[in-house]
Amino acid sequence: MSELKTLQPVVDALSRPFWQAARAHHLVLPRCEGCQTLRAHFERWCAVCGDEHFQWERLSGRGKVWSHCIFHRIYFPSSDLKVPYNVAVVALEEGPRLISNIVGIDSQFIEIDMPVIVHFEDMTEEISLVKFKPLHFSV
Amino acid sequence: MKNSQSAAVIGVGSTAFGNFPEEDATTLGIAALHSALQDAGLQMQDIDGLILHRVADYQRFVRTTGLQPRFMNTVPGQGRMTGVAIQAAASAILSGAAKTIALVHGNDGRSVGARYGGLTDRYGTGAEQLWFPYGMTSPGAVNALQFQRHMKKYGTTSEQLAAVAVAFRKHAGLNPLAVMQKPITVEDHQNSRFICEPLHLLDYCLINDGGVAMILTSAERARDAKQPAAYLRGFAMASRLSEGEFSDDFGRECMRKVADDVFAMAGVGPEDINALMIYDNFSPSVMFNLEGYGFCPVGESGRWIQDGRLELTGQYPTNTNGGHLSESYMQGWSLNVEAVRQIRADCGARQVPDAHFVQYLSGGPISTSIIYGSQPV
Repeated sequence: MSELKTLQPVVDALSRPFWQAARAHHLVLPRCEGCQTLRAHFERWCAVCGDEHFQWERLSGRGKVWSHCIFHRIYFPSSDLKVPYNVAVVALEEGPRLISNIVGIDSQFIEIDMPVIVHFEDMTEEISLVKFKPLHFSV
Repeated sequence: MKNSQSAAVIGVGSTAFGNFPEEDATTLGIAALHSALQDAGLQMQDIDGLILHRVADYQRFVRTTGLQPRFMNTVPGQGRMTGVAIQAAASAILSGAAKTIALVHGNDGRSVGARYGGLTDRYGTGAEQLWFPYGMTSPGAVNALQFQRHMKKYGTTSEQLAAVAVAFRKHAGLNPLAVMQKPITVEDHQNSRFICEPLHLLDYCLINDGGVAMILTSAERARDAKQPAAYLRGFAMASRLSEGEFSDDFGRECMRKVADDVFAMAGVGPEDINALMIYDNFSPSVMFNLEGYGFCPVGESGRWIQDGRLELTGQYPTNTNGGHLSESYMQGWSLNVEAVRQIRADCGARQVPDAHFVQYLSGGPISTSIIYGSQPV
């Protein structure tokens, strides 16, 4: 892992549709066919009803900042990530929460409950990261 | 689940805490066990049960100690498992599965450069897919995100939070084992560098090497023990692992369940508790625990912990050994040992007068609590 420059997600069979959609700038998550629960992680079974069947569903991309923080310590020295940088938990309007970064705004001005919308950041031919930007303004 | 019997701690031991590159988790654990045996006036052959925590090589541990346990377990190395392990031991004693159980924690986190956060830390749901690409990692960041919400929702401030670190450092100054002894002020806390903003360096626990051991037996056998016993008057647990890392209520509902059970079992309430030992991986955890277990009103912990309430002369002396923030991060074990020492009135300058009930609190995602008492049921 020492050559790692960018922190690319480790894509596996269960998550590939998520990342393929993201590359096409669509936000999708698996919705359980058994109980209709939308989930924000990639496992075979629904943790609510145990069903293995699900459909990938395209989401609005809108949400609110659930919480946010600013990293000052370097945890990934081999990557090109520069501190300080923000990390936010975004609560999607459909319910699930995603870890992400808020772009288009100085980290100091991010606030809880701030409305945000998805903003895809192309990293490679295969990967676009799912980031968010303020819905109403940018600084 | 009130039981006419109970389990009791009859021996505790710990090594020094610090940077010991010549030791490893197994040797530190064995040294701590020898210290606990000496404390209890027992021999290795008196032990018929063993639970290991963070000791990587159980086989070497057993071979090196010559133990022949008829009850044995190892638990995963997270600190949330400490209360789980102690409760498993108590249950095994109450069921008759073992007579005298040694619980041993060996931690070489500092000398091996253990890191919480980064590529080697798989903490977090789907971390390598959903956290790392955004630079997200570490339990400290989760705590920072939770504290940010507490600030927004209740008007809590970082200056208020400083009271936790300041109080525990004051206690550490009275504990020769504590790694950090120099008193700190609110200003020191505020001026310490940000690690994951809004949390400062002084909100983080201290990773060190060390070993801690406890010996449990039945209350009946504890009557003949060399040391005054600390009786497990109540113990309970609940989990909220399925919620993921981000709890809307700071884990309160889960802690509330544990509080109801542990107080019912012990037959006491928060007003009867003389000292608290709270799992302080990060200082906001202390506030969340105080609210979750019902010691202070929801949302008010920021104000509630002011004016020395957690200090030795306050209403609830807390983490009298200095806790993870100032003694060392022994993942809850040293806090349980301190609870026992307080019950025994063995704490010297940091002794809480008339410590008849001392409670261990751990917030989660597996919430556990233990109430130690100076008298059997």
